Amino acid sequence: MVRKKKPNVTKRFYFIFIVFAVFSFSCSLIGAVVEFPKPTSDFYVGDFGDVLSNETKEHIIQNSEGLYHQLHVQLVVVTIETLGKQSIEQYAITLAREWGIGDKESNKGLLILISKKERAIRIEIGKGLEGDFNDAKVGRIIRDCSKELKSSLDVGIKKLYDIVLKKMNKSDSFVSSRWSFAVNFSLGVGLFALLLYFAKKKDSSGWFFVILYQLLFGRGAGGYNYRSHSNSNDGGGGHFSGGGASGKF
Amino acid sequence: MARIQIKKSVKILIVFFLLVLTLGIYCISVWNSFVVTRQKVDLLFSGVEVQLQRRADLIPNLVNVVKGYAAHEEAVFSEVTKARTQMISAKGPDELSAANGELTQALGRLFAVAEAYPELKANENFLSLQDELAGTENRIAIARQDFNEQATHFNASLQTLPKNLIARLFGLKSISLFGVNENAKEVPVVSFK
Repeated sequence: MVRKKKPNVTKRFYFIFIVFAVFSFSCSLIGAVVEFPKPTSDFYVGDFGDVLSNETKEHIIQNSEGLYHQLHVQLVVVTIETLGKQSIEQYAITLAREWGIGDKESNKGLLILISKKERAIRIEIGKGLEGDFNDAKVGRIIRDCSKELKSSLDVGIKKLYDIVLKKMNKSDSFVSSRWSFAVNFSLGVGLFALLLYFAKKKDSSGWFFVILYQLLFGRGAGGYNYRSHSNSNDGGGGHFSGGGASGKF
Repeated sequence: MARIQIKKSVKILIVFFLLVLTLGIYCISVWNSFVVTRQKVDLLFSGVEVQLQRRADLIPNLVNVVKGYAAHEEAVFSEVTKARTQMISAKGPDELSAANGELTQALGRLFAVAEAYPELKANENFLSLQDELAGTENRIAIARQDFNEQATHFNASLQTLPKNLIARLFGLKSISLFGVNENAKEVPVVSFK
């Protein structure tokens, strides 16, 4: 009896082990129903649906980089082949959160997502931009581009992107931040000149101005700071709560 | 012999004391984690409420715009208004999601009526309101999803060993989730004709 039982126990152990392994494997499969694309090295454009021309991609990367340097906004365009079984709203917000679009502090991120097969488009607005882009405004932008999107995705997306970019630059909060940046910048240049002047005269009172400047504007007016932003983006915000609008074309 | 006996009992006492201390510290940390998660859940719930309120706020404007073009469709207007009032007075996840589902149905009928009026459909005001409503409905869906996720996390830790023992000790109860009404699931999409 005892001798017979022993292999049974090990067999049972193996059985349980295999069941457990299969179970956990299928669980991991269920968890990964939708494979989200990883951000490309360019970050600002991910043309997974292969619809954009090289010029458009270049245009987007250049302008988005400039926008991030100036206003700390991350404007990302992603095209995909198909949504699978998800709605475009669900796909867009998951992707935006996963990629961490937008600055961590200000959460100023914007995602333009286009799915080729479903002919669907969504503009997802990050928490920090909801004041500048309300749903109605975004809906209108999509409607204004529907004709171009219908005829050519490349042309339509470029038009859409340019409209968003233009509205971003015109937006009140950014215009004021631009102004404060300009003031800040000229003050900085002026004080630097003063500092040089005093340094030449070997007078230490110039430091007084520098300290005064730091006290007044040390926190970087308008959200602009002097970190270098070379190629890497220090985003990682991804705070989206479902603002934006969707459309079909 | 006696000396050793005393030492042994002291040792046992110290070990017992340490055991109680660690248990106490563990209980406190578990309680704190419950409080923190609970607060997160509450915050997310108020997020849902804010969006539901926003939806309710948009409806009178929408009804007014539609009335301007289709004044005689009284039945639909009163239905929407009634559903809206019900949602405002609803409390708690169950009631709120039921009321929200009803409002979605009533709004669906309102938009179906609007289909028959081409001038209304081209009205910029109407289109904006439609965008705002669709956006709000999407926000509700997202907020509800975030709430449910966090609440499920809370409920799971409430039911698994050994935390459930502590939860029972403090009399904590699980949070009911936001049911997803099948009709409410569909987020209207702006389409171009």
